Amino acid sequence: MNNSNELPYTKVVLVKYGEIALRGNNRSAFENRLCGAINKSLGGTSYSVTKEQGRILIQKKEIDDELDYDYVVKRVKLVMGIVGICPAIKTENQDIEHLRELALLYIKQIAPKGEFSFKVESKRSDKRYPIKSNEVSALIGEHIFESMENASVRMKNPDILLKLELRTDAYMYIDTIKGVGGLPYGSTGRGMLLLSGGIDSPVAGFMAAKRGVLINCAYFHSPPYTSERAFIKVQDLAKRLSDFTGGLTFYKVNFTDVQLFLYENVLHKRLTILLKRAMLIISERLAKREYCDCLITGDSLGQVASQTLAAIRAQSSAATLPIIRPLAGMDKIEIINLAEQIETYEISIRPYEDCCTIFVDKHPETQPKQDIIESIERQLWDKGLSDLIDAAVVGAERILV
Amino acid sequence: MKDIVYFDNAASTKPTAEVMGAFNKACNDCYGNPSSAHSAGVKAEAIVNESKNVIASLIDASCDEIVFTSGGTESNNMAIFGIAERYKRSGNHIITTKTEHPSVSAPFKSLEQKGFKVTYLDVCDRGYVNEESLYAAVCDDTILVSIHHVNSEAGTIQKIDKLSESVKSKNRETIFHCDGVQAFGKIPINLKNVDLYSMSGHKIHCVKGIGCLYVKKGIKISPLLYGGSHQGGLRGGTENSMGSAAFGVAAKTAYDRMNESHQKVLEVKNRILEIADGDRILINGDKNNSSPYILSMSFLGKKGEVLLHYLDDKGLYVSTGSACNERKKSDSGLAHFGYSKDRVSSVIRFSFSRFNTPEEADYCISVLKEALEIIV
Repeated sequence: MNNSNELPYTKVVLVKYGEIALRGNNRSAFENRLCGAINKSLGGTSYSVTKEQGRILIQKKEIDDELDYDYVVKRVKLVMGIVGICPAIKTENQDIEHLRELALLYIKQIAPKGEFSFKVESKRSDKRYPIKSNEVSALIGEHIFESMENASVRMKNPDILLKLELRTDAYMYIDTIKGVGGLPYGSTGRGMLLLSGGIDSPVAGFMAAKRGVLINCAYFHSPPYTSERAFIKVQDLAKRLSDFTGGLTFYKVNFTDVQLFLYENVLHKRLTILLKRAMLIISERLAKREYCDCLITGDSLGQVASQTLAAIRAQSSAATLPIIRPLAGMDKIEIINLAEQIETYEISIRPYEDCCTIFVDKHPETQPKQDIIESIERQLWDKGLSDLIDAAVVGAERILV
Repeated sequence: MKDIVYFDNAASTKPTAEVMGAFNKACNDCYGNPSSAHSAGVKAEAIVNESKNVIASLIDASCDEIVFTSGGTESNNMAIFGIAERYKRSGNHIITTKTEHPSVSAPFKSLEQKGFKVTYLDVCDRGYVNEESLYAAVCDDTILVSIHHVNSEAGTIQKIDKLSESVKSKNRETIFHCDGVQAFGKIPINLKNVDLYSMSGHKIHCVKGIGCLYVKKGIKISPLLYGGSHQGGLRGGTENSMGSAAFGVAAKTAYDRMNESHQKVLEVKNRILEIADGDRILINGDKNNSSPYILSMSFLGKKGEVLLHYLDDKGLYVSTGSACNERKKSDSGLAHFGYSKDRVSSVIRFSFSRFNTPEEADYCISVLKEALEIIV
């Protein structure tokens, strides 16, 4: 139907974004960043993404190239800061007679039988347009009502709400698909995500990013107990996250020596807690290097032994930065659903473990005491733990994804 | 010591210069489609047929009993599905063992789901199929028996002559397939009572992407791939003329040097297996009569995967089992040898080629000893 001779229009997508964070000088920078993120999410070079007076307009660069609504919606849906996505049609000819015909054609395509109630809403951002918005709505509504026998007008909860926006060009649309929402990426501050190859931590990273946190990642690698493929898997997860964030910094920490030291020096039922503390200590040092204000973990309350409140308390004092746990209140199934939506799930279920089962005790302590754990750590600190942690931080490899 | 010691030749081997030469030559001179009518096509077809002749003569078969495939997996699939489809009206029972390569066991699982009755034979602690159990399992309804020649994980060599004879003595209509991927070019093959035999190129220093299936004259199989009258209608698809050229050379060389290679790999294998102490370091399979190309050992108390990564870091490439199994957490075939969990999870498979040296074996031993010290 693209560009039919009588009623020329083009398929486009209008993107609405939250206005909350758009203050003063930030606005333009944010809009540019959003355009960039949308462009990246679409992939390829066939789209044009431009600012259009409080909206972002996505269209095909080539006029004869028809835009695929489903594809664009699917890709753009996960870009942070977008509130709504509207598959729309665009026309340059704003003559009222033309708009009336076009609206009728558009409605007929969607509901050919005409058994529906409807309402037309118009908006002029160009106030020089000769007819007031209400009158435009009325003129169009009248034409549809008169041309389609079974159509009725209803002001409250109509079956079809046809929206018309008169800007440089005119746009019509019916559906608004909900976006991820959230805040512009990076507007809240910076955080260091403890990223593993599991299902949870990438989702936690996504949730934090959605609330405007700029994400850095720390990954703990322990060769020969974990394989190179486990690292590649985590790197792929980071790459996937970077699709939403437009690039991120990734630290590969060699954790083997710390892990072995603790394995040899603590009761195995306490190993997990002390390992997690060591990871937090290392992550915090890397976080400070990247000017981060928080650590982010994929902990979900009570999911495993190390996620009881007692265990979380016994770990948390290892860090002085606040630890954000975006998944705290989510069930595993909710986490999996979100992981599927953001397409990290397929990567996470690859069979390469990032912690060797040797270091996972069958019966870890579920009610560890913070003071006891801390005193064990203090005793080990000068016996070598401190040096090993220093070495892990110094040796961490910084990778840009 | 050179940088890399490659002891994973049962997974894949390095193509030799000779093989690459044949491949390149075919690329340059015979790039036509072997089915084309013009002389470039005829030339390419000649290359394919020449290689078929070479391989056929090596195993005492005739040229039209060889079908080129993409490799071992396709050959096994073609044999199993091809027979099941063709003979499903003659019977509903098929037999295999519990220690087959996934390219055999997965087709059997699939046929089982489609309604075939499947007998999975046990093996003993050295990996051998029991001849009497096999004989007892064969019945009037049995259309297919599929048993590997050399076990890819432990190197056990099945007594294919006896097993196939036993099957035929019970039911001469039953078709006998043998997965010979780890045997072809390495040990002698006798196809007297074998109807189908799978072979692969890249296990004997050929390029990947070429293998073949021996189909005894008179045995009819349904094709897996339809799409033309290539290879007597058994496999649609343009014949891989370059791959076949390379395969012919690789197979010929393997046969010419079979005894010499046998001696070489046996020496390497024997050196390494000396570190077995019968207590913490065990040899899996048949200590005395397994394939000299494969050595499977368990290092009790260690994780095979961790050892593998340690060795990898030292430039030593080994495997924890069959490479095709590694990405799944499924049970290793060695669990069916009746081994303990610890023994199965601590397996390392060393597999050799004629290019390995005793010095490499010594290096391997020293790295292994070091690893056993350091790794928890």
